[in-house]
Amino acid sequence: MEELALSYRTVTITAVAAAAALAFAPAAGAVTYPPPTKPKGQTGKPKGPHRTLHVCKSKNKVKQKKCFPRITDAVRKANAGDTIKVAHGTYKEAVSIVGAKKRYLRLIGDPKNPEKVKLEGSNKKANGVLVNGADEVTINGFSAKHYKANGFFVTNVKGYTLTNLRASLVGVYGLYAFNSIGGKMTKSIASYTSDSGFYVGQTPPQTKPVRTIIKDVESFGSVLGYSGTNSRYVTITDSKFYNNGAGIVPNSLDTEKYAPNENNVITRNEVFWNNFNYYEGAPFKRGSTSTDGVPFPIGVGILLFGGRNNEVTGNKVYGNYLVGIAGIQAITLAQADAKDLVGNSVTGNEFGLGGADPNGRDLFYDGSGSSNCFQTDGKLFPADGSTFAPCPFTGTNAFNASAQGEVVNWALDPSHEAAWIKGPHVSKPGITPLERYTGGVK
Amino acid sequence: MRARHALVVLTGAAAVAAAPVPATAAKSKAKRVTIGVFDNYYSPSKKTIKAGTTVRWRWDDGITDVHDVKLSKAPKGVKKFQTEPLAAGDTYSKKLTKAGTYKFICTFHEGMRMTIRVKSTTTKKR
Repeated sequence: MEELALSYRTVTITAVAAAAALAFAPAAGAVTYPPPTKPKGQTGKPKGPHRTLHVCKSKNKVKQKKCFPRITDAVRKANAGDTIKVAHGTYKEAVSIVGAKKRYLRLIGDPKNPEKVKLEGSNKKANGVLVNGADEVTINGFSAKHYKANGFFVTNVKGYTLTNLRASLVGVYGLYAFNSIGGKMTKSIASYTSDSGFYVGQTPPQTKPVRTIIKDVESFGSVLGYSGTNSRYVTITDSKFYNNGAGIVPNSLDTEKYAPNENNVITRNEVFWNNFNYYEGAPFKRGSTSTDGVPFPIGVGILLFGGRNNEVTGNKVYGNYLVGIAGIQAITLAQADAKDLVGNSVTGNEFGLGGADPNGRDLFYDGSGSSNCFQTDGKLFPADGSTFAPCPFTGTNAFNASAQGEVVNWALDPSHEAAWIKGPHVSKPGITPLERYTGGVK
Repeated sequence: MRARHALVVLTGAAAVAAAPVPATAAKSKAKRVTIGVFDNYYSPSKKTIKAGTTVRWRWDDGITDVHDVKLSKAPKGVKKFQTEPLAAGDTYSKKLTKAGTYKFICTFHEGMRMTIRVKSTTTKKR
């Protein structure tokens, strides 16, 4: 509670001070950034001819001669632009694809049956596949389990394709991109990760933005379905986020460069049943699931934790016991000019499946910042709707410190469930609501 | 989405440094020091060692994020190095032989940095 008292402040602004603040306030989005960082390693598309290398586990001596026994060996031999085809089997290794000499490498397992090409970390190895400084690498058709850190991890690159992947029971993130420009995560599933299933962090600000696309993915059973610390230009679409502690959470934190998160689009997703109380047990090692002493709330569909110019539109959001879509100032962020929500819009979302699978509340907004607007069809918090401005809206929003404080208290509640408003769920073939873990996931 | 820890940890290393130990034991222990890698901080974040000491970074069992150790600033002539992003239970060792100031950062986490000062072992004759 003491930490809350330190980080959560109610500021009373007098009319004079407010006027002064407005007079000197920068225009929306006019934050001064460090110059755009171009991740190292980019030297363009390599010229062929390119080779195809094979990896297999065969005991057949003839086949053995034609293929590498380990993916790592094939990667070492491969040149930029080569293809490595990996046969069915279990590979107990941590694959590293590092440097410009490995750019445009294609690591191909079985796109139709990713579960048959297994990367196994045995809780000893850090990352299933690490791509660092090698642009436009494709990883297609693998599963990764039991890695201490990440399933598939891409950093310091311009462009990547992660597709037809499965990541489960890994220590941090399932699919993870950091300090990178562009890239795609598609047709993949992440589950039971101790942080988030999908993560895009520290996107360098760009004068001509290249979008990162997350499409046709599923994320369940994790602390967060998607997390994007200081992420920008990310489009998350046509995907499902369910049975996590919270579903989709773009956020702004001091721990990475380039706060705040901004210019993200969250559209046409199904975000439901994100009520997994991992504090009561989980198949993964639970770590520090808090931000400067404020725990991540459980029971939230989509949460904008700070951020600018994000669009949340056309999603189906239901069965989240705390709130369907929430927007709150990044109260723990030290960088004062990046804390407020600015220019975000929440429109055209469907809540609660027409009452068949309601959210505890449909929308929460603390009224922080400016030029944020909402289409308010649903149950609101605060209930009087005073913080919500209809779209389009330009100007200062109506901040409600009391509402913000109450929501922070929801997060601080030791049971993590006290503020839930539970309702019925519709039945969904093959998916069972996960609120308390009862075992069985390996 | 990992939090910054505002926690200040008094490490066992500090206690060891202050404890009286036999001269021979002190000599052998001085050859290696361990730096803890925690979620978003190294501990200790400042350390002075003698040239020739092996520094061992140990990723604490309790961490839940990946971190690396990158030598960002070093005495002239020292080859820079960087670990892979590693996780709980991993270790990495490096012997620092040249006197001077070494600065390290985690490339994934803003503000996660440490400094090691390496003192020369040569004694000046009077």
